[in-house]
Amino acid sequence: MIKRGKGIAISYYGTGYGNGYPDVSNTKIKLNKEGKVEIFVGGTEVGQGAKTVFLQIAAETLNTSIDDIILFSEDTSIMPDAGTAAASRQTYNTGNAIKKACEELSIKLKLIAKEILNLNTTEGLIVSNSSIYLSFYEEKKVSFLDIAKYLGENLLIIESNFIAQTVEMDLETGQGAPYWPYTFSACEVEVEVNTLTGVVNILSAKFAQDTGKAVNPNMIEGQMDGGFCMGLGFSLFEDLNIINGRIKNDKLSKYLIPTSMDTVDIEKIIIEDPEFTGPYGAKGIGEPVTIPVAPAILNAIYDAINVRITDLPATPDKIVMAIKKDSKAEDKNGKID
Amino acid sequence: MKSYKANTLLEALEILASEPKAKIIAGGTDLIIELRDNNKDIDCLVDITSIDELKEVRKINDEYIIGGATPFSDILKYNFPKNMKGFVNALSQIGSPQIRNRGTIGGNIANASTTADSAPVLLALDARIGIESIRYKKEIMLSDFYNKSNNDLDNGIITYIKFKEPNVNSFISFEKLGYRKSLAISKLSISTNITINEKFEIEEVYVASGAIGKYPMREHEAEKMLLKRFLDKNTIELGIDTLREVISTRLAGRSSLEYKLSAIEYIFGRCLEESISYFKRCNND
Repeated sequence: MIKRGKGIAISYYGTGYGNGYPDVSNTKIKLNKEGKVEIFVGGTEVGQGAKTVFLQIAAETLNTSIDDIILFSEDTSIMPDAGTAAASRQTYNTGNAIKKACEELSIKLKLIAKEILNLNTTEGLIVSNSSIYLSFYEEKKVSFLDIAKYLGENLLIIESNFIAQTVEMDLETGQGAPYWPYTFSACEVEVEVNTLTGVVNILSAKFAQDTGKAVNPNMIEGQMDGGFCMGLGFSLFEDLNIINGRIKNDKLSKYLIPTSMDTVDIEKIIIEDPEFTGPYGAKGIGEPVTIPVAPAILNAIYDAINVRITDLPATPDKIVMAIKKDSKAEDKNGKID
Repeated sequence: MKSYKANTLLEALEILASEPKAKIIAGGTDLIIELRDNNKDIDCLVDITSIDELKEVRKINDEYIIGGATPFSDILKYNFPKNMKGFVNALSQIGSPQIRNRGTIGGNIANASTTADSAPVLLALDARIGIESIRYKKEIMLSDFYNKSNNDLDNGIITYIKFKEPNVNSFISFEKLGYRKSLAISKLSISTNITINEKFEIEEVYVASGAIGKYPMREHEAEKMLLKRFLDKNTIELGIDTLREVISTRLAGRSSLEYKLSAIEYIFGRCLEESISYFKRCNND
């Protein structure tokens, strides 16, 4: 009556638009009059943590606290386009654009510091905590605020961009390198299936996510939890029930998504294998955290009841009817024991 | 839309008598959704959540009396005896914590949905309900309230729900099938109230169902089959077979029939198995 099963699934997913399509993130950064760095970027925060990651990458590059950086995003009148918050591309693409811009800003700031500090060269200058100093003689030091005052009305503005490198596939042969980089994921699920009611109960789940570099491990774990719930909803609950082009399940009382009671504490594993083209090795994980969940759940159901469910969502009635259909077929062919 | 907040029952009844297109609002967990789809016939709401006498859970002698406007979570604060497990179980599975904080037992009955989670267990407890309007005051069986094709309250309020405390040799069970673990509309629910004698024979039995008929109802055929039999696995099977036969006729032609027949085996079986293990534990104590 209650049967248990385990399932695993693995996936790989290409970051970005791919296939040679122009995939560009633009950014503009400015040293304001208070000596703070302002970043203007059109990368959209949709709950995935883009704004946090952008600040972290800028702070890392400028060797300063995120409190000294001001991020402006999601206002097209004052910032350049950084492409869509889609294709799991913001951390990789826009992260790279911000890193590049901050590196260029550092170089410009060092040149100005050289002038102010009356040095021969920028060699040995360190950028740290919104200041620039000579590594072996720290008295030679100038703050970002001093630099801003020195520049007066001639604000220092850097515009930069990052263009992802992908190759269009050969239309004849289908060969080529349509995406770079790829992100890898694996999911393992154990379920209990009630063969009379068809109810699937998730007992445990593990999720391993290749991140390149985990810029923010807490947020990645959050993404893994969220991605698992989306995959769970896709495989067991979510059904628009479209009849003659009309959505019948147009209410959240009918269009079911998992509640906190339906999910489990997922054992999350972050695998770091830095990607050499990524900002500090980071790759996109937005979509990858969802992809292997449904196949892992469906494999676990198959392992439990020995019947493949091929129509989603695998609702309890479908599971019961599939078991019945299968046992009828078995009866016809004679049971093999 | 006019709205009134009544402070006493009399006040509420007077307003209801003078406003023919009025609806009573307590938790609003069903009504507010209904208003969104259909508000032509309603031009007035009467809020009864401030009427204290409708929000009490009392035990007088061997009877429980629950005010109609008592939210489920308030009822669940009451310490019910162990053999009323199914009652507590049914109420704890309603909606979500937020729904249980707002939704009331009287509202669940008045809404008269076949999927109402509190209905089967109240039917299994052979509950009665008090209805009061400015013109009348009556107490009727909950099963009669549901059996009437038009359960019109006729400008009245469900003032209380009343049922006897089960005997020490009785056990209330409840099982629900939903498509998820919380905020799930019932696909099938069954409640049993079984009293056994010292020979482990079924002395008295109530079986009630939800979502397998037009309204929540007693399953008399299954009750007849179980009565006076020794409570064991064979009897469980007989009970299940009987209920399945009844449902086959009742839901004939429905696409969900075959699935529900399968689910009944588990849901009804669980109620009876849980009763057996409770009585066995009692015997061992």
